Order: sequence, then structure tokens, then C-alpha cells
Amino acid sequence: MMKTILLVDDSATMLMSLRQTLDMAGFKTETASDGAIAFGKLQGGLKPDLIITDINMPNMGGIEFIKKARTVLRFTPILALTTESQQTKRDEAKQNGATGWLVKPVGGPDLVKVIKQVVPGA
Amino acid sequence: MNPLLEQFVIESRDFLESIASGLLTLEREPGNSEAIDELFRGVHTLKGNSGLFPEYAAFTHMVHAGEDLLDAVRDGRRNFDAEIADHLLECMDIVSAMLDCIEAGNELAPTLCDAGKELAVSLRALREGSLGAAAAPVEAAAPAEEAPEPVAAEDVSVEALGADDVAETKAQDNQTASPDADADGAQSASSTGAGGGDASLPSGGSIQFRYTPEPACFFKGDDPLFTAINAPGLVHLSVLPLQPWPDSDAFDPYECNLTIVGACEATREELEHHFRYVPDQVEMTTMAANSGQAIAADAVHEPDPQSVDTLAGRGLSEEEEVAAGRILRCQYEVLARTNPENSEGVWRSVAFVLRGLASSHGIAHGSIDEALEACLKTDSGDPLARVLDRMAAGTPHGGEAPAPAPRSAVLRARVLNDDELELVDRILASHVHMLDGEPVAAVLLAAASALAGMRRYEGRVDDATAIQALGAAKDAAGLRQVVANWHSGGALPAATLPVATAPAAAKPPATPAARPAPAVTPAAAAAAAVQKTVAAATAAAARPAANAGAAVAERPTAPAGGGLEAIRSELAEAAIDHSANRVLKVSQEKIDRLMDLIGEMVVAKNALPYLAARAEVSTNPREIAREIKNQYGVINRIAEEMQDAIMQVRMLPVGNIFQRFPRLVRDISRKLGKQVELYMEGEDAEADKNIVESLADPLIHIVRNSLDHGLEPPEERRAAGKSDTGIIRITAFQEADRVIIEIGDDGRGIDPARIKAKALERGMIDEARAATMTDHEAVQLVFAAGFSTAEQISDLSGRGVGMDVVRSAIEKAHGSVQLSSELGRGTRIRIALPLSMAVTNVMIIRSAEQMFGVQMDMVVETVRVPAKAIHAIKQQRTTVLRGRIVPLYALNDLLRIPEPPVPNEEGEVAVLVIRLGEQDVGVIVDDFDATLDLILKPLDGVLGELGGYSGTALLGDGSVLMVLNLKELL
Repeated sequence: MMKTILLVDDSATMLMSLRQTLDMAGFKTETASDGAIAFGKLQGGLKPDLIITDINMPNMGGIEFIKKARTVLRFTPILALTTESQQTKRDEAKQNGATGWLVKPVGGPDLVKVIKQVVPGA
Repeated sequence: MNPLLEQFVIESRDFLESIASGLLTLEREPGNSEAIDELFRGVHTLKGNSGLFPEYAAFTHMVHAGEDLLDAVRDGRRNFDAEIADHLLECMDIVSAMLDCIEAGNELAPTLCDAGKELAVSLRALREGSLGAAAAPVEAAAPAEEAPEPVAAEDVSVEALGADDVAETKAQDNQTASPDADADGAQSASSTGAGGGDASLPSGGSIQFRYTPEPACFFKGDDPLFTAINAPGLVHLSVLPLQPWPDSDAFDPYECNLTIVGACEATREELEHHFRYVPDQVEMTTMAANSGQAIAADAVHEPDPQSVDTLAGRGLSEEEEVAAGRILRCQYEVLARTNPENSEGVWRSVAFVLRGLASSHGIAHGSIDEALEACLKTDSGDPLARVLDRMAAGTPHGGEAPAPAPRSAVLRARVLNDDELELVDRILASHVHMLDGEPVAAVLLAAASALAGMRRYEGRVDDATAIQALGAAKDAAGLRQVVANWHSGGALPAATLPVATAPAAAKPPATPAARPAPAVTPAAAAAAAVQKTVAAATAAAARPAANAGAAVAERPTAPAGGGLEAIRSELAEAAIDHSANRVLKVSQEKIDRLMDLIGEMVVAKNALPYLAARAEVSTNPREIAREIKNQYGVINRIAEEMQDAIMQVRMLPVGNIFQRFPRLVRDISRKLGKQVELYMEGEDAEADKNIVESLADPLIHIVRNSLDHGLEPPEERRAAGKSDTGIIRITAFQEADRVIIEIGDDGRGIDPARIKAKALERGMIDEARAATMTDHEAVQLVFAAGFSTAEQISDLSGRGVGMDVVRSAIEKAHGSVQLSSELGRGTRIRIALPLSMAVTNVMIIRSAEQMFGVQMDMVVETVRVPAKAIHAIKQQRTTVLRGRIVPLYALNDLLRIPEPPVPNEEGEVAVLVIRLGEQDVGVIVDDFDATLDLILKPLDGVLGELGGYSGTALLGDGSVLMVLNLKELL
């Protein structure tokens, strides 16, 4: 079964970059440009196998999105996209239900490796 | 350009605009936390995105500095001020220029990179709150914390990459330097090798972990078992209940009640990385005493099937003993839980764990296997329990580790045992590989650090220092030699030797490869030998390592400083002029509407073949005709809606071009020393993309004019009783089918007397005209070609082009421009543009039996004028319309067609009243016809020279309609 990954980032460049890597690795990807849109997709019945979300986004940021996403998808792994300097954000994300985090820039084999680590069967 | 890069450039340009406007907002309202958040987000994302392209490290580096500065502002560590704004704006200008480079498919221009580096230093200094430091030389201003982002780098991307390695090896190097237990040293030497880029080394240690997921872990998306199973180098795993299982009623399947115990043959770092998301839930214990030996141990020791080694007495560290004890205790528990159904599985599991434990402690496990077999045979767990007892309690076993024996008679401050030697050899082997070819600086540094670490471990500090110097000097050949001659002793190229011991480095006679050395020499003796060599050597230092290192650090970072200033001002200009919208951003709904319409069209079109088939067999052409007409009606409606939808897609808010004004106003007013407040309204008003874009240059020109000529300096304003701060107001709104943009200022206005004088002087008007001209008419003269009132041409707005350029640009877009001015009170310019240029509403007229088109937006009214109401005043035909005198021209005359106008039966002539500027003019034609929406194509080729036509259009019957440009004709 193809695994679906929901990518949430306000940067279209970042989305495209993630998407390129994941498509190549055989994942199905869905994208959203902020937390509100992503949450809307979840409410609309999207059931991704993994969510990768940026933290700093307009409308609804990553932390709030993670919190909300947990109300509909309790067991789905969620990874927060952070930069090396955002240690506090990582902790905050974890406290609000994130499974782990990725450090930007992510891409290529590393990304796939991390995903395989948190998504059984990926 | 690859699509990702393309996307990056487009998005970055967007960010640049929003960042620039954010900076200006913040400058006005320094406390606006929302603005700072958004600003930070923009810069942050910009940096994050650029990180995807390591080749543009200079870009990332500079923006990163900006981000850090903004972060400090956001946290309140720094107050936002004009200086910060200046620097960040400059940063964005450089980014913009870099994007140009990237878009052109080039590498970043070195001048830009240098400008970026210099700016990064200033930005960092600003963050620290002292710009003064930025003026200091780069080396001094780059503090230690910047080491990961080297300022002085010949190849930024490689260096940035390598810097981490360097930092890493440094850290490990520290470990290596500490003369700890043997095992410690051996391990760090090994991981140093790995840090240097070689992954082929097997990891030395075995680690036991206990992973106790938090009860609510499932609600964080954790999958503890999956995580544990995938632990690197897993050799054993058991899953146990954390608390005794409750009754089925009380059992909560969503609560994790497990603890997972496993053993891995991996380094602690690997495991820590693997469990990085749950560090607080995992305990780790290193199990092997001699980690270097652990794996090899099975082979080293003669397996003794009759004995089970005890764990005690093997020289385990306290930590390891505790871990082993825990594992054993667990196994007791497991054994105790056997029942007839699962006994075999339990025994196998226990045996598995014990085997793992035994092998990781370097002891044979033959008896464990035997015990397992015995258990299975006797159907009792006792044999395994006995083995457990022995392991736990410990029957002393005679098998001491083999006495360490030096492998070869080499210079050695400390004797390494065989295992250590083997490890050393492996590390060396990996370095041969690493140093092959032309390794980059980072690899060299890492290799040198690793080798130096090993020398230190051996107690040969001098060699270590020298090796590191080789690394710093990027001497790959030297390092290769070090590796090749490792066991034969101090075979270092002496050029690098004496950093620590001799004042001047010198090249010794190249000899020492075969130098015999005492079997065991203390470090001091080695140092003495080295010194002797040095003393004997010639004084001519071929390549002093220290100097070589320093030279790298001193590599000039910037070209001539004067050039930079020029680049900067160029950049600022470019940033302002540079924002043509290459990409059309369209809201989802507009596209959706188009999709719907296309869907309808596909369906509607399918009716046509069906109708054609009907027509072939039908005997009733009338009915078929009616059906075709009906179908035409459907398709026509869809086509019209599609046309509308497409037009909507092309509609852009005029705010797109307003965005650059704040920056423009800020920069120019600062340059001129004027205080200006800019107000903008109605940015949401939309117009066709082409219209909006055609507005950009005229608007910039007008705003510059206002700033330069219109608004007075503060003193002059005060003298005139105005407030110091001048006001420029830009307003956009829609009025019927036009979009209106007004630019007003409260400056000195235009002096009609001066305009008249100037016009007279240039011979544009004569005395008589000047005398009769109203003030309003006089100020309109600024639109005349080649008119410029500025006494001194400033570099801002007076480049010999004036308002006439503005007017022609606007008229080219079928717009009009009006100017009103009140001396001393200000000037207002009103630009009216059609919403769209794509489709033109044209009225068809007939004259001399030909059809012509006239753009409806010029037509005021159509009237029939009785011939007798036409009067000739001085050869000029006129008529009176509602009390106003309207001059009349016959279209045939204008087109030089020698035919008189044809009146209708009542003797009336058809007059098309059009508006020319402020005045109405009548054009006599033969007859009026329908109005049509047409797509106007400009004349091109030789016909393009024809002034009297604005274009051609295709009519429904396929004929070509010439559309007149009456302004030009009149």
C-alpha cells in the first residue's frame, strides 16, 4: 500500500522539494500551505500515514495545527520541520503531540530514512 | 532552470517584497509584534529555502545573519531602528541581485558574495548591539561562534559543509586527548575515524537499552515496538509488561504498558540518534568492557563448550555490571513465567538473551546452547536457570585475556595491546582511503584530527600536534605519508613537525622511513629525538605549517571597499525597478470557474455531431436550423462566460505596484532630506495584468516628481505655514469600467507663470497664446514633449524625460491622464485606465461606403445634426450642442477620401461626438452601425507606421475592420 504523507509548509519551494523527494521514494503526497488548510483536509477525511509540518506559518502555525490534528488523528506520526536553532520549538511540538522533528534543510535519503523510522511499513 | 530552483526564485521574490514592506511598516511602528512575526517568518523561510541549494551557501549565510538579527529584535534583545532597517533592506537588495544571478543560470557573482559576507558581519555586529565592531577587520569581527560559518573561505559551500565535521572532530578530539581508560580512548579513536567520513569501520561497543514508552505514547504517533525493532545493530529484544497486566475490564489498549529491553551492537551515538525523539524514555548502558574487543572476542577465545563464563571478574565497569545484572534479573522473571504452553518460546528467548550477553562480553556460549537443549529435552527450565545462576553469581574462570604483546618493535610511548593495534590498523586503512585523490579541506582536517587523536592516545603528543598542523595546511601528501609510515615511527615530513618544539620549521633530510627505534620509549625521549632531527635540519623553512594555516585565515574577503558602495547603490536602484510580475497568481475560485465552464463547453460541443447527423437525414431544414440556433445560444453563453472568467484571471490588484512605493519614498526622501508621509488607499482595485504593469513606470515617475519637485524641504514648508512632513497620497478606485489612480501631494504646486515663461522661451507657445491661456491650461503644458521645468536636473526625476513620457505610456494603454495644481497647495494627477485591454468595445461607423471602427471609450454620444445647424467659422465647421460649440471634422477629410459626407433622407448628417482631453469634438460620418466587442490586434510590420489606426479586428464574417485612432487623426 502506498503511504500518504501530508506536507504542510507555507513555502511552496519547501513543499516542492519535499514532494520531489517523497514522490521519488514512492509516497503519495498531499500538501497544504498552512495549518488551517491542512486541518481542513484532515476534517475532510484525509487520513495520511504521516504528517510533516512546518512550525512558523501564517493563519495557523505548526504547533497549533499539531494540537488540532491530534483531535482527529490520534495515532498518526507527526514530524515538525524545524531549523537547527529551534530547540524550544521542538520541545513545544513534542509536548503538543508531535512524534519527532526534522531539521531543515531536509531532503534525499535522509528524509526517507527518517520516515521509514516512524512509519511502519513505509 | 530546474523547476525547484524556478519555484525558489519566484517565491523568494515574493518574500523580498513582503519583507521590504514589513521592514517599512516596522520602521513606522516599531512595536508592531504582528509585523515583526511576519517579517521574521519571511526571512526565516527565505533562509530555510535557500538551504536546499548548498551551492548558494553565500545566500544562506547572509540571510541567516539577518534572521538572527530579527530574532533578537523579536525577543526584545534589540530595538528596531532605522539602522537595522537600512541593513536589512540592503540585505534584501543583495538577495535580489543574487536571485538575478540564479535566474540567469549563473553562479553567484563573487562581488555579491563578498558584499553578502561583509553585510553578514555587520548584521551580526548589529545583533550584538555594537556596529562599531563591524568596522574592524573581518577576522576580528568574526567571533568563535561563527566558526561553523567561515567568513574567510575560498569555497564557501565546501567549507560550510566541512565546518561541522571540524567541529565534530574537535569535540571528539578533546575526548581523545583525555588520558582516560584504554577502552575510552580506543572507542573515541574509532568514532573519530567515523566522523572523518569513513563508515566502513564496525562500531566497537554493545549497548543495552531499556525503552519504557510513556503510557500516552500512542497519542503522539509513537510506535514503540517498531522503533525498537529498527534500532541499529539490534541483537536482542524482549518486550515486557511494565505493570502486571490488569483484568480485562480495566485493560486500556490505548495505554502503553510495555517496557522494551534490547541489546545493540552499535555506538552510543547511533542509538542516541535512533531514539532522539524519546530520549527521556530510554536508558542506555554500555555493556562491553573492551569495546574494541567485543566482536572479535568470539574468534579470539577458544570456545569452551563445557564452561560458562561468569560476568563477574571480567573487569566490567560498574555501569556495565548494573546493566548485566538487570538483564539477568529480567531473565529470571521471564523463566519464572513459563507455563506448559509457552515454555519452549521462553527458553529460547532466555537463551537468546544470554547468548547475546555472553558474546557482547567476549565469552563463549557453548554451555548456554547445551542448557537450552537440556531444557527442551527435560521439559524443565532448570538447566537454563543454572546457567543464569552461574553468570550472575560468577564462577571464576581462569581465562585471562591474552597478555598484551607489542606487535612490532616500533617507537611507542605506550604499549598497545593486539586489539588496540588491530583497531589502529583499521583506522589507518580507512584513512588511506579517505586521503586518496584530492580530498577537500574538511576531510583533511578530520583525518588529521583522527590521526592526531590516535597519536595522543599512544601518548605521542608532539606527533599529534604536527599531524594537526599538516591538516591545517591541507597537506594531503603529508598525511598520506603519516599513514603509510605509522608503525615505523615518527615518519612525519619534518616541515610540519616542529610547531610545538621549534621556533622555525625546517625541512629535514628526507629519511626516517626506515629509522630503527627502541621498542618502548617514553614520550619525552620521542620528543627529544624529534628535536634532534630539527636541529640537524637546514634553517630554510620550506613550508611552515603554521604560516600556511594563517595564510588561509587571512585570505582577503572583500575586493576594494570603494567598489562595494557603488554596487550597493546600484542594487538599491535595481530593487526598486525590479518587480515585474513574471508569474500570475490566481485565486483558486477563478480557476475553478474556468474548469466548470470548460466542462460545460465539452458537453455543449458534443451536441454538434449529433445535430449534423440529424441534418443529413432530416427533411425539415427549418427545425434543424432552429436546433442549431439553440445550440449556438448555449455555446455562445458559455463562450461569453469563459471570456469573462479569463479576464478575471488576468485581473490583478493595483496594490501589486503600490508595494514598491514605500521603499521608494523612504529612500528618496532620506536622500533629499525631506520628511514625507505616504498614504495609499484602494490597493485592492483590480485591473488587467497588462494595465497594471503599464502603470508601474509612469507611477514611479510621478511619485519621484512629487518627491523631488513637488514637496518642499522642511524649512520651506515651515515658512509656508505647513507641517514639516509632506504628504503623498496614492488612491486607486474603480469608476464604471475604468480604474482611476490619483497621486496627490501637498507640496508647492506648479507655478503657471513659470511654465508659461518656459514654454515661451522654448517657442512652444507664442505671446498671444500665453496671454490668453488659463492657469489650468498652462500647467497642462508639462505634458508637452520635451518640457522640463526643473532648473537643475537632479539625478532623481530629471533625466530629460518628463511628463510627456508618462502621458504617452498611459495613452498607449488607452488611458488618460489629467493634472491639476494649485500654487502653494499641491499637485494632483489623475490617471484613468480601462480595466482591461484584452477586449475592446468598438462602434462601427460607415463612411464613403467603408466600415471603420471607433473605440467606444472615446465616444461621448452620436447625434444627427441638420445640415443647416452646421456653421463655418474661419473655415472651421462647428455646431452647437446643448449650448456648447463643438468643432466638426469630416472623417472623409481626415482620411483624405475625396467624398462629401452623405446625409440621410431628412438632410441630417451623422456626427460622432468624441472626447479629446477636455474638449468634445464632432466627427462627421455617413452612418452609425452596431457596437461590438472585439479583440484588437495592433498593426505591425510596415503598417505599424500608420498613425491613424489603433489596430484591426476580425469580424464575424471574416472581413477585417480597421479601427481608427481618432486622437491621432485629429
